[in-house]
Amino acid sequence: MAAFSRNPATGALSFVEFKQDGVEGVDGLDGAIGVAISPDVKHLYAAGYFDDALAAFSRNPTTGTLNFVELKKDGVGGVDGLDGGWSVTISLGGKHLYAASDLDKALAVFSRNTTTGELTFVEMHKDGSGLIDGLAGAASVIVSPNGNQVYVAGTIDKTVTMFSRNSATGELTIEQIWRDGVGGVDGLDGASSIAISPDEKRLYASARDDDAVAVFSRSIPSADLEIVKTGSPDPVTTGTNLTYASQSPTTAHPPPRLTFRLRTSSRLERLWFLLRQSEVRAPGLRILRALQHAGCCS
Amino acid sequence: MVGNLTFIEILEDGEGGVDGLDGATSVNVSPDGNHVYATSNQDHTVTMFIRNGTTGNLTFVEAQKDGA
Repeated sequence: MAAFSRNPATGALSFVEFKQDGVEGVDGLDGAIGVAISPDVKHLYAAGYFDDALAAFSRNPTTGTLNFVELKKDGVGGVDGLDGGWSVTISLGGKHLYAASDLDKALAVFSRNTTTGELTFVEMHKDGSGLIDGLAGAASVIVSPNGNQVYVAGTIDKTVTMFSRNSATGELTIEQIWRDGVGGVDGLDGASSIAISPDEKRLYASARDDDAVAVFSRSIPSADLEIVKTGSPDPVTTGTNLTYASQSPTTAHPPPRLTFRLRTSSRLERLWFLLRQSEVRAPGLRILRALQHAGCCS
Repeated sequence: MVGNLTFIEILEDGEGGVDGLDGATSVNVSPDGNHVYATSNQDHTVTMFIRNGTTGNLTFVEAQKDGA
C-alpha cells in the first residue's frame, strides 16, 4: 500500500511511504486490490485477494501515513465472505463497510467503529443462497450517496445487483438484478466497476468483455428541492420550490455554509444550513429533514 | 422502486469513435459530475467522456494510452 501526497494545484504526486504485507506486523495485503478511505479520512481499508482478508489502518489526515490496526480474515472469528476479496466501500456516514469477494461470490457486511476504525462482522450474502444472485465474480461494490442502496457488479454473472440497505444496522436485502442481454440491457458482459453520478440520477458500469461503458438512469426519491451548485453546470434537481443559491466556502473542509431560497406561495425565504459536502451530494430527504428540523417546511 | 435502473446507452470500444475500452476495468465520475473516466487493461488507457448534466449521456473525448 503506497501513499503519495498530492499537490492540490497541479495534481502532481509525491511518494510518502508504503506498507507491505508481512512487514512490521502488517497483514492482509497479499494481492491487495481494493481500497477505501473512511469519510472522516481517519482510516483506510484494503481487500487482500490472496489473503482473503481486510486490512484496517489508521490514517494521519495530515500526512496520509498509515498504522496497521487489525486484520479481518475469511473463516476466522466468524468472518465469512472474504475469499478473493476484490472491492471495498464505506457508507457515507462511515458506520458500515461492504466487501465484494470474487471467489466467495459474496458481499460481506461489517459495522465500523468510527473512533478506532475496527470492524465487526454483521452478515454475508452469497450467490446461490436463497434469492441471492448476481454475485459470481463480484468485482465492485458501491453505496448510493443517499445510503439507501448498495450495488454490486458481477463480472461472471454479467450483472449489476441492487440491495436495499438498513442505514441503522447496515444489513442488506436483495431487490433487483440487471443482467446483460436481458430486458434490453447491454454492456454488462464482464461488468467490472460501477459508479453513481453526484446527482444520483445515473449509474455507469464498465465491462471488460463488452469493452464498454453502460449508462443507466436511476430512479431517485422525488422531493421538493432544486439544487444548483455554484460554478457547476450540473444541476441537482429534485423539485421546484427550493433553490440552492450559494455555497461558502467551496471546499469540503470545513463544512460549507449553504444558502437556499425557498419559494412559498407568497414569498421567497432565505435559509441557511451547515451541511457536510457528502450531504450536498445526497440531496432530497436529508435536506428536507434539516428543513423540517428548522421548522420551516411543514 | 427507488434506486431502480433503466438502461440508456452503451459506449463500446470501436463504435462511433469510442476508443480505449478494450477490457474496461474501472469507471468513475468526477466530483463535479462533468466527466466520466474509464480505465482499460487491454488498451492500456484512461478514457475520458464528457457527461451531459441533464441526460447523463456520455460523449467520447479522448483516450490517453500508455507509452503514446
